Amino acid sequence: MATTSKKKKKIDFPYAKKAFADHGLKDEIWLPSTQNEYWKYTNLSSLSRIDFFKNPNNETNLESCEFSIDPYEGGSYDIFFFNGHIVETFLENFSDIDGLSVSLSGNQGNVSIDSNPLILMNQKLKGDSINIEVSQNTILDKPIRLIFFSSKHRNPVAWHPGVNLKINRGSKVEVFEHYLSESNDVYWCNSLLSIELGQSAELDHYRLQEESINAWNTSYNLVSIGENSQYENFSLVTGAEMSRNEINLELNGRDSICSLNGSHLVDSKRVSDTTTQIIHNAPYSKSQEKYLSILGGNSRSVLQGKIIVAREAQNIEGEQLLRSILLSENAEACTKPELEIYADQVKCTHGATIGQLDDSQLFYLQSRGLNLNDAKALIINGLMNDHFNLIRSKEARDLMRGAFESSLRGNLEILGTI
Amino acid sequence: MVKDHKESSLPLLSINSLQVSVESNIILKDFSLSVSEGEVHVIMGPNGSGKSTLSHVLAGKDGYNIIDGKIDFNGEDLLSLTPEERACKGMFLGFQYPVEIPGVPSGTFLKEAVNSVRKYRGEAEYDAMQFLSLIKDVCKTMDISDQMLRRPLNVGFSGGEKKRHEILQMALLEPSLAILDETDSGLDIDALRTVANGINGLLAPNRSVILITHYQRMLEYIKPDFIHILYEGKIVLTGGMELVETLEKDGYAGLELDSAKKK
Repeated sequence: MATTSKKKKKIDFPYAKKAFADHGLKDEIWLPSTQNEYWKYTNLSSLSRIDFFKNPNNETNLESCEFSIDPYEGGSYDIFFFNGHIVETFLENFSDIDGLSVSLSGNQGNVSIDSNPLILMNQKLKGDSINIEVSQNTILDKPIRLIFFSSKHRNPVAWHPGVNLKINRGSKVEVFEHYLSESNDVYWCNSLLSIELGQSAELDHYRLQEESINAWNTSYNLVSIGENSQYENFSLVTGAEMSRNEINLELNGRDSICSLNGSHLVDSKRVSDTTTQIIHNAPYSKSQEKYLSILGGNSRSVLQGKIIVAREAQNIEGEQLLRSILLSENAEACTKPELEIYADQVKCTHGATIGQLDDSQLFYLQSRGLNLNDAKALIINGLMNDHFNLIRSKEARDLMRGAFESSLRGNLEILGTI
Repeated sequence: MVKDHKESSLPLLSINSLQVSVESNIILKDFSLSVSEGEVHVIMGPNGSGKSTLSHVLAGKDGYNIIDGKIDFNGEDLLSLTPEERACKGMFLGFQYPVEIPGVPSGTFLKEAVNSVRKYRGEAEYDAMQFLSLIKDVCKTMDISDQMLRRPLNVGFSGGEKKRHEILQMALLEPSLAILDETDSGLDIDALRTVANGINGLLAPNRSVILITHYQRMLEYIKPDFIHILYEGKIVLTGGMELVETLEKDGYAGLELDSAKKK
């Protein structure tokens, strides 16, 4: 019987098996089923049935694609991943920037594979990977923008890009990841970001995901934060059929601080999953998490947040708030806050709410002439205005707000029937 | 002296034998009221008499069960209209408790509201610059600063600020019928004067007002055409300032509402 139970935890994934065989790999490969605690609410069965093609390099032609990306006010250092491949011409722009080194990497970084098969696939199938290192005491004048763009393609394709980011002591950097697609074709982007912050460093890390209704996106962020350093993350998801953004973060130095925030705005049958794990390994470290999901249609949002406080991490502070607002009777919010505390002196709070828009607010706005949809949109934009204020960078905040408002305007069905 | 109704062909608002319940409680019973263009009606009444229910039903709030009766507004069946249609067709409810909308600057809200109504009426929408110049003078009259327009709507506003903002909205939306639900409650003397002056400034031959209030102090500033006493869901007395004087002297007991109801 034990074998049966074990089997249920794994979903057969023919694409990965074949890809592993093509690479001469002997590792067992599968996808986690909903029988796994951390995949309980996000079902990868549909992904497992897609027959992905090997991504052909020779189709790379960024110039012929139709897309537009709002510029970063004040400019940015852009790195393009085009259909999973790094566009090398962009790297030439990085050759003489003081304190910044960008290079292609032969591997996906030194990440412990653990039991996560998505990381295993990313590492073993060796998609394009890049190393970014910021040397000591460098304050970059412009943010680094990582653009993951998917063009039209005839067959479903999968790629496994990687980014290794190292910010050395005393440096300050802003990184903006942007995932977008040209068409509604099927693809799967399975990325791995490995981030290391040295002592007294600062990283503002933003992530905007606005992909097609047929896209799959799984991202794994492994973050290590050193003494007296600060890490801020804000992620906005408005797209993909299924996305899972996972952050595994360790506060490894005294007085280290992290702030993980974000929002899902999803409709239709989309599934948007943010799963975080913050490990306080050092005393006087602080963490804060605020996520807000806004859900229409038959969509589902998954917010899982775990805070672990190690025995030696005394006098830490942890704060977590996971909120979901349902705009439709068929939308679903799955929220799981978790605390695992081994130290004695800690201050940890966590909360989770699931609700609808406030009727009295809607009536007030309607009584001033706004139709129901405009009233809903105004209230949602108001909630998000407050939420976007968690973003420290004005430029990033403007980009996020613009993407959110345009997604809401372009897709009023999300406002639903409630 | 009670003023005669204006001899126009149709009243602006005509409520006939309205019966309204909330859950299983009947709140308004056989309620009738007629308001003609340019008239100011005051509705007073003890707690629980149905004043706020009346204002909510007129503005179209959910949760009220219309058992019987009819309401005509400008010759149309009001009860068939959505709240926003009522607003766009000229009805305005000044809220007793204006609702807070976090994250929405009050200036943004005002522009959205004015443009929604203009769009409905087939008029050109204002851009940001036009709108700012439009509201400048009204804001000054209502003592509303630029800084207040940047604050989220009603969030952290004092009682006076909220009510001043309600009258500002009324001024910008230019309604033909304003229902002001206890607009005077929670105001100090200075705020009351500002709000009352604001309302007075908006009185016009083509604008009617239903002022719902508990207190006579608002009536020191605004002179009504009719005063109605609402009791147990029905208007039991209609008159002029003499009703207020009796109320002031002897309270509702002095009006002998139970015997008035039987008449």
